[in-house]
Amino acid sequence: MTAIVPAEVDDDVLARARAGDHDAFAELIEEHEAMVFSIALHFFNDRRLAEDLAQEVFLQMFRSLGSIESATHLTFWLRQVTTRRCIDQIRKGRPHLVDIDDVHDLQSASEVRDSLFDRKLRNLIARLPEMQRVVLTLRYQEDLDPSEICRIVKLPVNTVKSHLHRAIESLRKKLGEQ
Amino acid sequence: MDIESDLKRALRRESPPAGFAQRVIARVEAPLPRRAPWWRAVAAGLLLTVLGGGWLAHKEIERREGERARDEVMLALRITSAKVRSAQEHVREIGNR
Repeated sequence: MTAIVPAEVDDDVLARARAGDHDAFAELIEEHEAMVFSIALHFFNDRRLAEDLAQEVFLQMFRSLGSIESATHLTFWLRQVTTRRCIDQIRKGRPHLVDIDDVHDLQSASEVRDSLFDRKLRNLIARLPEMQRVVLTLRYQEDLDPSEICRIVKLPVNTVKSHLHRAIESLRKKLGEQ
Repeated sequence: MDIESDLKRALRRESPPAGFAQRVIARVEAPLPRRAPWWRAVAAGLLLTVLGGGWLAHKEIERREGERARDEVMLALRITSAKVRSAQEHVREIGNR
């Protein structure tokens, strides 16, 4: 399986951003914003919370540009920091989870177009235990395999596989019940 | 039901609301909150030290005065007690004669 890799950002853009060029920094954000925002969105199922968290991730990236070695490292770093921040955020205080019935008021036009089934599935994912949510998102949004996920979440590969298996079984069961 | 393809579809990437990068850049460029000059912190520290020291000295003086007063009262009581005992012995001697 091939992971989704953002169109490779030129290392030169990274170097310019590191030198304080805000246009280059904006280029980096635009390259990775969908990845970071979507990881948070699929974790919380809340667009406002996802945007706030994604902004914080990019601010942290701005402060850490000096330690980011390459475009590939940047992608890895962003996935890792985003998932860690999602988990930290939920441990600080469980955020409000959006119910299917409230979705029309809060979601964008694109989500209103989503099928009811997709929204139901996202709602169920947002209620899974935090690590199951993370590995599921990295697996199906980012198309990473367990050996890549385990480097991001710093867990043994068998634990990652077990989280994935449990998450899928739990979703199957809940979808069957509804 | 093919849950794998359902998950891929439900968890596809989405873009954040328009203007996201500009909002982050605006936060990066926002001036940092102004910090008070260093001498203000030093002056506040000195003032606190002087006030704290004065309060401690005052407490120490109060403690010593209290101890001295207590010692004086104890001495007076001891003297009074000795005098009363001596008077009692004198009265007892007169009675025995």
